[in-house]
Amino acid sequence: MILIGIGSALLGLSGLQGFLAGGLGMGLAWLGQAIFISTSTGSALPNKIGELMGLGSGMTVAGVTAIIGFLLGGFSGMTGSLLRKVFRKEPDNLYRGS
Amino acid sequence: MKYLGFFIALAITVALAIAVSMPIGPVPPIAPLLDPNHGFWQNSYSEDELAKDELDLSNLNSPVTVVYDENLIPHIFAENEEDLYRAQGYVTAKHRLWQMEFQTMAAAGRISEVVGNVALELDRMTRRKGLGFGAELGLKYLQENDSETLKLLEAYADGVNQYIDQLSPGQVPVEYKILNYRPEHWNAYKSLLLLKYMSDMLMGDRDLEYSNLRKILGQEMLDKLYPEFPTESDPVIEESKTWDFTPISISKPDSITFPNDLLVIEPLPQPEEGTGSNNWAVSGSKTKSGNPILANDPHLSLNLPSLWYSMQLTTPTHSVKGATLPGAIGVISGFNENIAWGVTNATKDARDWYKITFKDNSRKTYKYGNEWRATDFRIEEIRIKGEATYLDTVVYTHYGPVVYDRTFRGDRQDVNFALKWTVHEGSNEQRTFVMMNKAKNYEDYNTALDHYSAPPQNFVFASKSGDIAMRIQGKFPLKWKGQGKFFMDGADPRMEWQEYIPNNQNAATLNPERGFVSSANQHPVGQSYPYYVFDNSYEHYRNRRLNNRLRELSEITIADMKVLQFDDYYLHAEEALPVMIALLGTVSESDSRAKKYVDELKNWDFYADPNQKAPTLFYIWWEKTYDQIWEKWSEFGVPVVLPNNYQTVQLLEITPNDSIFDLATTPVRETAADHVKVGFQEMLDSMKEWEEKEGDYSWANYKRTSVRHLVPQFAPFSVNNIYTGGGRGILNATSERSGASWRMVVELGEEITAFGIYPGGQSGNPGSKFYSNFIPIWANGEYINFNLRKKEQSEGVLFQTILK
Repeated sequence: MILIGIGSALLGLSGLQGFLAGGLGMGLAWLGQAIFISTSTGSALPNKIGELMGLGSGMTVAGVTAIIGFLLGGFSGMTGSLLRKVFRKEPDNLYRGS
Repeated sequence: MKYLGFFIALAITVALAIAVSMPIGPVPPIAPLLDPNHGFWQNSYSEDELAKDELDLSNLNSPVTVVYDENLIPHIFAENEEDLYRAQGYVTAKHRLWQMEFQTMAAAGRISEVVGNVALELDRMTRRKGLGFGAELGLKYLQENDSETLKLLEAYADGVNQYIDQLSPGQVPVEYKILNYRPEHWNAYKSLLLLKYMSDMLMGDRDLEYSNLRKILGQEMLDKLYPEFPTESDPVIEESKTWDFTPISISKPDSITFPNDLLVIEPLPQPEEGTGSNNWAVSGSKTKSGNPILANDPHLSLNLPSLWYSMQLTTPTHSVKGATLPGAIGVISGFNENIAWGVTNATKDARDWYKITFKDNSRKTYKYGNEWRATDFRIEEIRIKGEATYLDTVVYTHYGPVVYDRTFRGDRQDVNFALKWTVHEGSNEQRTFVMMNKAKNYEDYNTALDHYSAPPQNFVFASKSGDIAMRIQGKFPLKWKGQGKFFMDGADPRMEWQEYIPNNQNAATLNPERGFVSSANQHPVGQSYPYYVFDNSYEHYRNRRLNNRLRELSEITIADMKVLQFDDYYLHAEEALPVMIALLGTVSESDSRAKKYVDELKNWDFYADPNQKAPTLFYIWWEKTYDQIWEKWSEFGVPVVLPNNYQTVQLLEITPNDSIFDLATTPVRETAADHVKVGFQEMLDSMKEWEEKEGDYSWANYKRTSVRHLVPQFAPFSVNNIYTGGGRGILNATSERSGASWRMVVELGEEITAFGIYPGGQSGNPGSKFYSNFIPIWANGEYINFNLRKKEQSEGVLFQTILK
């Protein structure tokens, strides 16, 4: 999460862009990993965890995983870009002289 | 403004990060659980996908090779014993860490630490039973008498701990993640505690219930309904055996008085119904090949991960294979290059209760003969997840802990009963198994058993050289007739256990004429045995069926023995049903359902196969009838134990008009026939409901055998509704929740041929393909190859790892 925050700050994105970039980045990464693990192992575990959590199937669990990843990444990204904005000096002398 | 935006965003981020990382009530922190890099997703890999060629294991004298076969059974090849058991610890932890830890925490009365306050009463009871006390004495015994075995136990613990220390967050077993705790280090004490826990699972007593029955029914009626020996005797040690030792004399003190109170205390839980087992060995004289064949199937509650874990352990001097208990060293039921052995539970009351008379409420002293003895206070600190630690004070007498007192399970202020149990004494079961693993012949087997005290077992034996044997081994107090059957008076020194039966006077047999040895939890001996033998829970059906078949069979092969282990002949039904049908009389033609059921029952061949319907009908009819007959005893309002099935059938058959069947509350005089008829009617009602809701009433569908995860709430980790036959009192003793937890058949020829199976899988990880893959094989009565492997053998290898 901290890395996403730093990355966002360095890229100089706006708050919203930071949010989306961080969110989609982490959300998709988590979703991709989850699906990859599920299909390459063929394990019954995602389905079992889904049942245990009352969510139904492993697919739903993958979805919730993605959502949590998205939220964590999103707010990290937004925080990072807003932090940068804090330090950016607003030009306050646009109107110089006459 | 921009500061505000930043700070709000920061605050939300931090709050979110905390919220998803924090447990909310019983729900574990959600983000770590779902994180694909660290959470449960990482547990989806099966062991062959994570296989490594080499792993680090310090403190080894030389490298150890572990070869996994296609069933993930590890074969450990070490150069010496210390390395062997260090590797056994490491490998067992690699596959079953959560289970071994959870079981030892249950034995220690520490489940409240994991699941909270809901387990407090369970933990209190475990502690009060003194399992921890027994394990401490066991450790002390090893420290003083057997540093060799202690060293091996410590090597095992080191292996486990090295595994724990190298665990990455992703590889932590999933149950830890869900329950939100992490493993602790293992030690020799925990191994001993686990063995005490096994004892507790297998040993019980009904002293409380018998005390109540004696007071309510009187001695004569008690003896009539609960005879100490059945009319048809087929004991473990054959009836014809003559005893070749001079028994130690023991006489019952005259005029002893048992405490005569009616006890309304809540009894301790007993071993699960269905706990029991079969084992037998046939000599070469009865087999086709001329080689002895040995078979063992212990019956226990069926859980996942399985209680048993298969392994082969090999050093340059011995090679042993079979079932191990995660947490203990060596193989517990198995065979090596020379011999095979197996275990069944040998119940014989080795757990007694003494009423303690304290001088005053401080409980600092208690009466013993003419003096007042001092007590010990032990404060049990029970940590509870999320709450303050609970302190439970347990008073210890020289007999043992005072389990029942005013703060625990007693309803009266003056109720104080101490428990005397062989489990509380220093003992060295581990030594027995370490020696048995290396045994080469009958003498070695006997020497190994001399170290064994609890839980008492019928140890069956066969050797390549042609011997077969059975020895009932445990530490058995020498009792006078009736001693220990009821609660005893702790103030009367004459009620003490005087001494123990010497090992060489325990019941045993070697190469009996009948050509086989066997045990199925029945009476250990006939009446000629010179010492008092008593237990409430002796079996009457499996033993007779088993011995009848073994007497009939000749030219026996391994296949015959597998069939016998899976035999589902319902002897109890064969004996009870004709009597019940006769007592039922004619069934009205107009009731088509009743007629259909009676026809099905009459046409039944008495096999409890999974697809047959009659077993369901019989089972329900019998249960209802039995409940009807003995229902009046629940009116006593105190714990009692009911006469068993065998006795009840005798009463129905021989004395159907006995007054025992009369209900005093009704003006009519009831007889056996009345209860049978009411039972039948209730069966019709039950069946109507069942057929409407479920439809199919074939036996497997009614029985619903399930193998459950150790945490019952983790239902998706259990396997339910298994299609398999058998039942209680049947050789294939598989009921709804218990059954053959391990099945092994070994033929000891020049080449040893072995087969084994259990209802579970080698992996303790619910995400692995090896978690429950054995269940369908087991349910069908099939086995997997269990032959000893040599290190160089290349066929059937899944993968190999070198530990160095």
